[in-house]
Amino acid sequence: MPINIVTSRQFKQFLNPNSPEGLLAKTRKEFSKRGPVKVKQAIVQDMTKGISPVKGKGKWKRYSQSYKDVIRNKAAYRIIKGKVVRFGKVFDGLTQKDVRTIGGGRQSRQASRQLKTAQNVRQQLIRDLNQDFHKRSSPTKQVSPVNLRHSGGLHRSLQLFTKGGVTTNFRLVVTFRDRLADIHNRLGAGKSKVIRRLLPTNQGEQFNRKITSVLLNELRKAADLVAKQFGGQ
Amino acid sequence: MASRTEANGTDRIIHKLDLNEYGLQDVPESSKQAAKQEVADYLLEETLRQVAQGQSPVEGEGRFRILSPEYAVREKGGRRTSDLELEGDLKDSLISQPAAGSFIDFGHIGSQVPKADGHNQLSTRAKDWAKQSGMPKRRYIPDDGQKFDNRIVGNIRRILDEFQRTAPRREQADDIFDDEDETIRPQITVNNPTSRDLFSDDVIGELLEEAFRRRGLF
Repeated sequence: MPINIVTSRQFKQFLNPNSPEGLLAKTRKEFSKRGPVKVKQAIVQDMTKGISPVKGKGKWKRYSQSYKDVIRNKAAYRIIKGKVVRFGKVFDGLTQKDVRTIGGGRQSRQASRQLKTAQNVRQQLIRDLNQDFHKRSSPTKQVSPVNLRHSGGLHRSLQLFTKGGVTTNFRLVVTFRDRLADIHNRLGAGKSKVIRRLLPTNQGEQFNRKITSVLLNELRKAADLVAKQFGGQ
Repeated sequence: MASRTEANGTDRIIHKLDLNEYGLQDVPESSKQAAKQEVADYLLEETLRQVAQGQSPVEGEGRFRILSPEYAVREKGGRRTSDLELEGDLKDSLISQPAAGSFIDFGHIGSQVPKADGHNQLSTRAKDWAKQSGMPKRRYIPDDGQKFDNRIVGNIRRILDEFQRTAPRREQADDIFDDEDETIRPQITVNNPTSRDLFSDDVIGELLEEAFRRRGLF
């Protein structure tokens, strides 16, 4: 059904921006149905390839050697700031019980006497704990590209949804529920506090070109669908 | 000057991409640096994406030969796609940055060059060695006379086209986040929107107008 419109200015008036039943509002509603899912796929695809979703940040920095060992299941313990750290958990100190559970025997009893004074006891503990851990595991996982996917929890916590009214303040919210995201994105991970940008949260930043083009494409499809529905009236 | 490749096989393997071949000369002078940076960022990201899938971004090179089963099990968890990534050193050293004039430098400088040359086989030494050793070619840097694949070339043209049609944006600290003051609202265009602009009335209005015209509705 052709409409009697000649100029872009006339078309803008026709769009009826303030009405929730207007074409602009309908386009945003259509986008809400599929757009967030497609954009999420694009973000996860880039993350899986080690590419930052943030424009201009390129590839994420490599994992440290100790974390690579964790991924390969060759190690689960390391020393950070003088404390024995298990991936995901921190031991406040060494106890007699901890030392006995490593492997027992004469060496452990000797180690327990030097418990509070010897730095090398911690190093030996690390080696024993990792050896024990390694016996129960097999190295299968890749350490590169850096995809921030050890257990998959971070990736699973990515959520996208639309918010706000369809006539004003409409926006797409992109968020990670996992607190690890803030560590990677802003605070820095590991001993070296490596930043791996996940989202364009700083002023002036935006998503990389691929993700922005997916967003634009989904909006274009939504507009096309609205035009098709209008034409069928 | 046309695009060319400089490869000595020891410390430098750079493809100098001449953007005048894709329309940089028509971009306003004040926007040229931004346009070059945008193309450089895109080139790096897209190359990493394609190589991660075992695909060469160079026209005519196709897919990389897959890994042997033994190597795949030993180093890649059984995955046989050749993504040129073991520890990450090679890809970490890949650079893509604006250079003097209309050029973008794309490639490697420094310690990873011999490794990169082994895969790309651009220098004479690497080509001779590859003939003897049977090392498969996995090229992601174009040689002299080669160019990037059609999709990448098309997107480079699109990026430069956007800069030709868009006036430079004023980037101020509060520019993007201030809803109240209309006078400092950044210029909006559907051809080069930021993520924040995309849901505005202007951008969606233009998309709707395109859709209506395509369907002959006016």
